[in-house]
Amino acid sequence: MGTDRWVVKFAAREPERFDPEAHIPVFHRWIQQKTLPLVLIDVADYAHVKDGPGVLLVSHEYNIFADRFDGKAGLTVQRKLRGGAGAVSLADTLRVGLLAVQALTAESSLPGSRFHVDRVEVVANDRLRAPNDAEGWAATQPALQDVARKLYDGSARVEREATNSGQRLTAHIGGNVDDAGALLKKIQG
Amino acid sequence: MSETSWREKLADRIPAQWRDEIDAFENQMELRKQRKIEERVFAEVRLRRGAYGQRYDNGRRHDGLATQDLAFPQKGLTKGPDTEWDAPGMQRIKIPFGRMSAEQLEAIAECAEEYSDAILHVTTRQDVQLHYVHIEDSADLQRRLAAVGVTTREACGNSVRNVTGCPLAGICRDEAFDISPYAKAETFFLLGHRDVQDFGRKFKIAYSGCEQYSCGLVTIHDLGFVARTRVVDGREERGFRVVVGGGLGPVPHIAKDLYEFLPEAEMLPLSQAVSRVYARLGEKKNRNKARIKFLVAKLGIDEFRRLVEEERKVLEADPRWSEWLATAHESTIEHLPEPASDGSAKPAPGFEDWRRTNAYPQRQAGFVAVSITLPLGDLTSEQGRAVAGLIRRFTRDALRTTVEQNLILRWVHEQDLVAVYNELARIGLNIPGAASIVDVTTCPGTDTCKLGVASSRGLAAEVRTRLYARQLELDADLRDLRIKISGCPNSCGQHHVADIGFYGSSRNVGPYRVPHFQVILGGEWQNNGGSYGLALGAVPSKRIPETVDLLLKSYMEGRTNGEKFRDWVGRTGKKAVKDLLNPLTPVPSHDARPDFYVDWHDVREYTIGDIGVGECAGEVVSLTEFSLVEAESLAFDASVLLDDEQVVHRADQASELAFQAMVRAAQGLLKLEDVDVKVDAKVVLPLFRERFLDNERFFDRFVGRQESGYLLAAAENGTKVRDLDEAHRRVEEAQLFIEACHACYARMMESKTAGGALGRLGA
Ligand code: HEM
Ligand code: SF4
Repeated sequence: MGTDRWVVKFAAREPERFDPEAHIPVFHRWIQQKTLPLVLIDVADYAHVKDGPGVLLVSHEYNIFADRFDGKAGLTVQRKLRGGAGAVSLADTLRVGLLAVQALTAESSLPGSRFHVDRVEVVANDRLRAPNDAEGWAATQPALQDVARKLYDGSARVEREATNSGQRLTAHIGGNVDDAGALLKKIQG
Repeated sequence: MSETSWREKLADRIPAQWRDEIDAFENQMELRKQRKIEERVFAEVRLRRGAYGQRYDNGRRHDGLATQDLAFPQKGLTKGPDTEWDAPGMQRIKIPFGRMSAEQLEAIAECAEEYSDAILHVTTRQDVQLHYVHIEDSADLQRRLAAVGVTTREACGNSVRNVTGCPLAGICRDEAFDISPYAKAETFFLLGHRDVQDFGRKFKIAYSGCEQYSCGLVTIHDLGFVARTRVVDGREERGFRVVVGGGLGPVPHIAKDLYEFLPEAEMLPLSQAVSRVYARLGEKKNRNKARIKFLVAKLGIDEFRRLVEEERKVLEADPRWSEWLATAHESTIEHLPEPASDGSAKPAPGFEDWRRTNAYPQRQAGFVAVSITLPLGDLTSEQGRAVAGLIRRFTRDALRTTVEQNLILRWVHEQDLVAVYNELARIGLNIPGAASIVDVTTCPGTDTCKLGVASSRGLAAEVRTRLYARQLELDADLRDLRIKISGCPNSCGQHHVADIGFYGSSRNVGPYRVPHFQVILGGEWQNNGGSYGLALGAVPSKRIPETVDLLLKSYMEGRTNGEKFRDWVGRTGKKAVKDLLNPLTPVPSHDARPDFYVDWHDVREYTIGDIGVGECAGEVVSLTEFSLVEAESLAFDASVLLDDEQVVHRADQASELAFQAMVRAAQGLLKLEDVDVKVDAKVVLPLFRERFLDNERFFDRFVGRQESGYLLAAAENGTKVRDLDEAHRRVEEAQLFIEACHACYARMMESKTAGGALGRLGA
């Protein structure tokens, strides 16, 4: 089973040009135009906290952050929905993430918002069903591998990241495809 | 991996009563989903668990072009009037007198990460709030906190809110004594106490260690205690100056003196007596007049005191009044025996400036308390964990939150100060200027609050950035001034007690609306919030930073030797200060300055269309209704038990629970008549028989007679059943009995509104 609560993060390609606050007008426009297939609710500005959520696009299903969590610039997608545990919900989370990556890439006002998609950080956001220990890893790994293979075929990689026990179980999945559109096709198909 | 739930996993770590309360809340959620609990009643149940509504929770939002419907999946299912079930909400977490252990901070940080947006927001009531939480996550969230001794009970709603207290208690150079054990005793004595369940509004209590400073702000509270000692027969006695009937909100009142010196042993019974008087005589219908300040003002303090004293005399003695006193005088000295670092570390840049504003030499030589400035009261989960690490590594005491939305780390060895600073610098929390002019206080405003009129957080972010740029935290003449901002007149940002305060308002300019802030000058932060400022008129939001600059400049130029800001305001006069601001009030045309029509840190054209009905007020729900909800929750538990094949004696247990549910419902009806009895069948049944059955009040043409029989039969024959089928019948009977109680309650309320006087509800 494992968890249905995932967080995925795509690292910014040019971290020095990435500007969370520049996303405020963009995210507001996305709400007006219903750019993502989600119930989009609001934009929250946390640019004042260091190494934090940056600017957040809140939806019913996901939180989408133009963030600097842990000091690393990127786009983070946090699944809030319940259900569809394991690979299903992870694939869903990645799908939403890739849609957001694509939509940001199309924003000409945001040249710094381009992201790597050949290596994605995946966090199991659930200390109950995916604790940061050997058992939790055993419960989580199959979903990661399943989804990695779906996305990156033969080049798929899954690595667990060494995080301390207070932090959540974290891994990276990746492979030799660095194109959001191509990955989306695979994950939707 | 085994599929457990937090409920099972933490069962042994949560105190039994707290566990049952959270389980019941979860049941009540389920019942609400089945629409078996009225939305108004569920709203108050939810608020009392600290689960609040948030902006746009009515399912509509102005996106800058038009008002959009938010297409929540369970459309039409509500968690309160005009509050969509799926709309994200805020979870308020009670931090009594702001004290938090490392473990507790970590638990909150974990919840913020998993259920919220990885931000912990510290409020002006020393609480922590998490935003954008789905209600269905709230029970697990509450369990995880309960497992480390943190409750969210009565964090909102019409009850006793968080008890606040000076964060320097126990280490302060000016205090009469450490108020921490007192504030703690008060919190846990009143938490869930039956005398605090029937208020018309919220009730806020504060403790201060001294008269002259501000950390406890007792005069803006419903009930306030200031530590005092006196010498009687050569022995020092501890007690309190007690004040009552203060409060901010749109109409601020300074609390009145109830006692000059109340001996410490009287603290809890006095609080109980005050609560009972407020519950009995406070306004219940008109919410705007329901705070205790209006009652005190109406009766006069002498009459109020007389009523409290009468009430005090008839209170049934309670051992809990004094048990806690045995340890109240123990000192809270909690530091590591030795410094944790060798003191040789080189400080990161900015250390000296930071030390000047953020390090407080404790009364105890060799120790300092360190303020951790939080911008807009926010920190991330990761920062929270790092701060927990600091608590563990450098101190043995817990952390405190402050009413200025910061954290204070106490009992740091002087030798460790540099090491602590360096660690704070690493996580971006080495911000100087705590509790100074740059450390602007703000409520959530339009960011998340339904009542917000203007963006207080956006404005605060702007003002603090500008003041920091000018390094005003280093300017000795201005450093101690306070700027506080609320998003509306309700004063959650405590603007009345700031030197310079603002609250959000809106003005029409032609066909447009323009966000403004009312300017309030000359409030007093010292002397426990000694006096409230003067309103000078509204200035467009975009000109507030200029307004701050102008006020500071005028003060510096116009003050006489050493004159305080508020004295300068008083001497200059309202009219002259207003004249100063007049040039800033005109609003340029929409064509010339469209930015005036957009709020700070927003891009949408400004509107007030998103304002909703506040939930802070809560719903006034009678004690009977609460009992009926609890009864339904017990019956629900019983029906769930029947399905659980793992439980060996489920038939008997379910039948027993069904009986308990009926007793609870009957007890609820008794409350209608002001009969306050324990939920004990032996006590409830005879009274219920006498007041509702013998006089046939429980019966009408369709229901009652048969249903009351279920209760009586279960009471007479015991709850033991032969098999699951019989247990099933018992549970169904319980549900029917509860329905009959609802019907009876409805009839009685009707006859009451039709003129029949009925006990306390009519009062
Ligand atoms: C969810 C949004 C909130 C709503 C709807 C709300 C509503 C209100 C209302 C209606 C009042 C006036 C009370 C009265 O006069 O009876 C008030 C006062 C107050 N609230 Fe809130 N509030 C909210 C959030 C907060 C937050 C986040 C804080 C802390 C940062 C806070 C702290 C206060 C304080 C300090 C007062 C004034 C003190 C007093 O009268 O005792 N509130 N609030
Ligand atoms: S002052 Fe107004 S806007 Fe701010 S939190 Fe209170 S009710 Fe909301």
